[in-house]
Order: sequence, then structure tokens, then C-alpha cells
Amino acid sequence: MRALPEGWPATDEPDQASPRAYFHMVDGSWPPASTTGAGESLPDGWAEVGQWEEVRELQALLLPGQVRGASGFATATGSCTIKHPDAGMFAPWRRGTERVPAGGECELWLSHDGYDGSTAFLLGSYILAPIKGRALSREITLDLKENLAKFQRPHNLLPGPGDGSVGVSGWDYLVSSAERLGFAVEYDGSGSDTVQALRFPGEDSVLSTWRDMVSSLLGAFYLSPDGQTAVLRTFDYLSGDAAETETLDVLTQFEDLQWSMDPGEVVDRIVLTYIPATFGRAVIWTAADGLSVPSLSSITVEFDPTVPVPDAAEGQTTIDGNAAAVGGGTASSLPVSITVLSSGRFQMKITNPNGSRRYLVTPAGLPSTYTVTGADTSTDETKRVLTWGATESKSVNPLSLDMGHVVQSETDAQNILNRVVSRVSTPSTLLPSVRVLPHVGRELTDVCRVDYSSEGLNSKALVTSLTTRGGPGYVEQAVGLALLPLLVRDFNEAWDLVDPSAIVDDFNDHWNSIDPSADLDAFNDDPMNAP
Amino acid sequence: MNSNFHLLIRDTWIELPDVQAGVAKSLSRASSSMETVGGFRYEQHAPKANASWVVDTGLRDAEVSRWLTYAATGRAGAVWLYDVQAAQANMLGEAQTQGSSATLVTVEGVPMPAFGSGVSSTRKVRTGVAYSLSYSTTHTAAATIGTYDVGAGAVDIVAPAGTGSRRGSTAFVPAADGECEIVWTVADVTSGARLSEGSVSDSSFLPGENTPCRVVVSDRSQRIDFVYSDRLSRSTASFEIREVG
Repeated sequence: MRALPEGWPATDEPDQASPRAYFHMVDGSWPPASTTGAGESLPDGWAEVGQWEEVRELQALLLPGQVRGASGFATATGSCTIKHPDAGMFAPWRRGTERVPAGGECELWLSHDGYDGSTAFLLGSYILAPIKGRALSREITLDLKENLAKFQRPHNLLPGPGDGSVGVSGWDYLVSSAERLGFAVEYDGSGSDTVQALRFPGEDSVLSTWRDMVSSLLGAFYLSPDGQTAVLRTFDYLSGDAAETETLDVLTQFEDLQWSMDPGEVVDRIVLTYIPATFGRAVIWTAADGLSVPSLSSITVEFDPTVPVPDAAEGQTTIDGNAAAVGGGTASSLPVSITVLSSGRFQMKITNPNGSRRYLVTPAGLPSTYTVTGADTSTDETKRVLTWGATESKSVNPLSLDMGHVVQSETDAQNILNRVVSRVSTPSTLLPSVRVLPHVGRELTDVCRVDYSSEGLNSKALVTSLTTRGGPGYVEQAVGLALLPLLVRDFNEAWDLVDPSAIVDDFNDHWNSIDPSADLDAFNDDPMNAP
Repeated sequence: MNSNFHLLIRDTWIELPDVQAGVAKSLSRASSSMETVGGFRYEQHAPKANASWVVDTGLRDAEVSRWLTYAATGRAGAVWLYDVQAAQANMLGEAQTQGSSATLVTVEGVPMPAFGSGVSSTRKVRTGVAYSLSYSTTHTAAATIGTYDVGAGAVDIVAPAGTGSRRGSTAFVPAADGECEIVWTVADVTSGARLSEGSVSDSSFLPGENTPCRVVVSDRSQRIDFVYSDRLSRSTASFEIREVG
């Protein structure tokens, strides 16, 4: 949740003035300068907005309503309307300042004291999607979508941690990839898995590789509203291990409390498959027929190693070359160097210092190869399987999770399986979009508390969707929440039991110290009600 | 002629002499409300209200309502409406009668946020009409608290004699149709501004009515009553005028 600047009314202020909304094209001279009805002069690049809307939704595996979903990615879309200038209509066929632009980065701002006042608040940063207008309408509608341009490039996940460390969390690979894409990163460091080396096919985009990783790690990712920060949430965070941003009191802040719970989401058998890495010698490149290096020059080849290659792997420093295309001629060792662009794109530079052309064949005429010691040799994609729950013949509602290469050890797979079990062995409750008192700083994955004590509800919840809209005289917001089930961690925190391994002794001491005559029935009724 | 309405078409003021009494003026402000599960109601409202007038020209010929008919065609450029009844109260907009500072100035017993330095407001004014600008200020007597400019150069607005929060006023008659720009130059000492028309000498504070304002005139709705062959026929016509911008 982002804090609002000074000067915004409190969320629960019963009689508030609604803010004005502004549309801003970054680095643009459109929309042309104008004067708003309130007498404010807006410069080029700014326009006052009539109505606006922003929808943000999170899809994260194992959330209620999405148990079998989901990629872990959030999507953000929006739209706003701005009015035609007095001089003429905005249209794509106009010339001059009435011509609508072909696209570009833009922002939506809300403010109580002008576009550049101290209460101006950035609602979101987008790129222009379709722009629509009608001859009989005083305004045009601009559709907005999240700027994921960087995510369409080939991925830049490195095969290894890149800093000499051995086996770090998959989240650390994502953090390093995000930083090299130019994003700031918000990540709470709680990933506990170990990934020795990674590989995704070279041409896969950032979007598809990140989705694979985030969903294998049972986490979530979204871009911050200003488009500058990659926010990575681990499973622990999504299960409530985070500071609560606010308490939502149903009686005073909700228009209605809608809930849904699907018994079909209770799973009685989980099959988790993963492919561990076995490190040994692997050939990662074979020369194509007829490939040669001219004399006294070098060639650069880009290839996909097809296996994960950790940082500590050692490769050759020279490669076989031969004067004759079929071998048998003068054999030389040509110096070679490798540059790692990403886990699926390696660049190799082969230099020929000799006076005549060298073909990349061995003396026997076979194509030269590049071998690495320490690369993953498990090319046969054999999956290991962990299961939980009923046997296959007896299970009614099984769940399969394929973690691929991202989970590499049995310990990690077992940890993930335990977490999944805690999520799907009982049904969890979804509060689909409910209208609440608006706070435009709310963000996806905010952990908050929903309090409806008179009906016995007092639970942590995760914000999974946000729809915020505004127009003349109103700002409305609907929030979708997933109620988070209680975990032992929450119980320990409530009862102040620091070391979970000594829980039984601590708990008994604690219980006795409070009130030796304390009632077990009261405890059973509400175990979270620590005195 | 003492008509209540003047239309500004292409920077020229035109009196509307024959609007019948009984004009219905209504203000509407966009708002939304939400009631929670526990029965608590929360309201939001837009920072500005818009006025609309329904004017009738009585059983008259077309000449009487000709400028309203012309304005309704949309070919008259930007049309402004000057409402004398509102101008006698306070011509300034609701956001221009007070500032947004944290410091409060008592305006005839009611605290209002003071103006910051450099805050300005502009109103169109008519030549030959007596205007009065009044304000509450806590500044030292005879010190300048702002300026106003009706096209003849900036004239100082000066705090009246006395101490504490008190009401002062200054009067002017513009030599030509134009704009009056008021700039408050000293922060945190003035509030409760009122720009009003006429010889009404009362300088106490009245809330802003935002006149003159840009308007849109709807096409007339007409009931044809008398038709003559040798002069313009008569009908009753009514127009709806709505504040825009």
C-alpha cells in the first residue's frame, strides 16, 4: 500500500470532496495545452480526465478461486476519457495538435490541488492501447494497458547466480534478471529453495520465462504502479508473512460482504514432479557441417546450450580445427572464448591465428564439439515424483504440479509439497470484488486484516484484485480478497512463542502463567485469542 | 433598464431585457454515496457545482429572444452569462473566496483558510458598472495585501484601519469591458473575498456565486400563439441555459 500525500482526506471521512483526475503523456506534446473549467492552465502533455477506471488482477497459484490457475502474474488495464478541445475534434486523421498520437507512455494522476500540486498522486503508469472516439461524443476514450515492452525481449536469466555463489534461490535469479532489465526490485528475501543452474530456451521471452519461474516457486509478481519496480512475492509472503497494511472493518468500510467457497478446490491427492540436475560432462555445442574460420580472423556463433550450465562449470579453452574439410589435414587448436548472454544464449568466439582457413572438424573428420565439465547431464528429462494423499485409484480430486527444472532437489520439492498441502487440504474463502471505502494507494498482494467480529470473522486476507474508478463527484473502489488460513506461524506470533521447536513446553508454561484456571473450552473456541 | 441577465458574445455584452420574472435557477453538484453493512453512510462530492437557468421570454415576438436563439445555434463562439442577482452577492467562484493555507482568518466570526501569496482570481467585468471588492484581513492597517487590475494597471488593496480580523473594501468602475484580476500578495492574512456589483454598499461576506460563467444555451422550446401577417408573430419561448467549463 502506498501512502497518500498530505492533504488527502482520511479514508473514513464521511463527507469528502472527490479529487480531479489528469492524464499525462510522458515526453509528449499531446494533449495540447488547455485550461480546465476550474481555471487551471494545463501545459502540453496534460489533460483533465472526465471518467477513469483501473483494474488490477493477480493470478497466483493456490489462491481461492484459482487453485489450478495461474501464472503468478498480475495484469493492469485502465481507461480514461478526455474531452475534445474547443478548436476541433481529436481524431487520427487530423493534422496539428488535434491528431491523436500513435502510442506512447502515459500516466494517470489524481489531485486535490492541481496537476502539479502537493497532493498530486500517481495512480498508474501505462502505455496507450486503442483510442476511440465518436462524432456525437464530447470526449475520446483512451484505453490503457501495462507497459510490458521490456518483457517481450528474449529473456536474460543467467544460467548461474553469476557472482560465484553456489546454489541460490530461484528468486535471486529473478532479482538479478530484473535489475539488469533496469527495474528496481522489491523482494523480501525469504526464498528458501536452491537452484544450482537454470536453462530456458534462448528465444523464450522474459514474460514466459518469468512466468514459469514464478509459478514453479508458487509466488507472484507485479509491476509497481509507476512502472519502475518489479515486486516479487514469495509463497511465505502470500500466505500472510508480512506486516498488515490496514484493518478493514466490515461494518464501517464494506458495502456488503460477499464470499464464496468452493468445495471442489479441496484436493485429496497431489502429484508434484520435478527434474533434478545431475552435473557431469556435457557437450553443449557441435559444429555445423562445413563451418570454418578464415585465416587470421575469427567468427562468432550464438547457440543454445540445451542444458543448464552452472557458473562453476569449466569449458574448453580451445577447439579442434583442421585444414581439410574432411579432416586428415593439418590439425590445430583454435582459441575459443564464451560470453553468456542468458541461460539459453551463449556466444562463442573462435579465432584462427593460422595462415590458412581451418574447418571445425576433428582429425578424424567428425564435427568439433564444445564440452563443459559440470553442466547438467540430465538430458532425458526424467521426472521425479512426490505424492501426497489418497492413492491414484481412490482419489477423486487430484492436483498435478510440474515444477520442471526450477526445483532441483528433493528437499525443496518436499517443502513445496508441504506448502501446497497446507493450502488445498481445506477449502479457502474468496471475497470476490466488494465495494469498500476507497483508498487509491492500495496495491495487489497487500496483506490486510478483515474484521467482522460480531460475526466471528477476524482474519488476514490478501488483496487479489482492485478495481478503482472515478468521475465527477466520485471515486469508487472494489477489492477482491482471499482469506488466508491460519498457520502455525500465526499461532506462534499470537501467543508470543518464539521457538517453534519448544512449542509444547513454552505453551504450557505460558498457559499456566496466565491463569491456572483458564478454560480449555475457551481456547478451543478461539485459539487465536491470546490474552 | 434593469434586467437580470447579460450575454457576452464575442466580447460584447448584450442585455437581455425581456426575460420574465420567476426564472428557475438550480445548482447541481455531482456526488455519490455509499452505505456500509453497518449502516454508516459516506458521501463524496465534486469540488464544483454547476448552475442552470430556465428563462422564459413571455408572449413576445422573436426579436425579444433573438440573442438567446443565436447563442443556441452554437455559432456564437464562447457565450458567457452575467447573472446580476448573483453578481450582487459575490461574483467570485466558490474556490476563489478563500485560500488553502493552514492558517485561518476569522471572517465575521467564521474561520476560513487564508490566501497564500500570489493567489489570483480573474472575473469578467462590465464598463460603467460600480463594483466593490471586500475582504477580511488581519494585516497591519494601511499595509498592502494585494492588487487588482481592471486594465488600467495594478491598484493596491490596502488593509483598513484597526487591528485583528476586520472587513475592508475598495470600489471601482471599469472604464472598458474587460477582466478584473485580483492578486493577493501577502500570505496567510486575508480571506473571505467578495467581488460584488452595484451600489449596494454592504461589504459583509457572502459565498461565491461564480458569475459571469461560460454557458451553453439550449434551443428554444416555443408555443406559437398569435400569428400576424403584417408583423412578427408572437409566441412564448423558453430556453435552458447551463453553465459549462
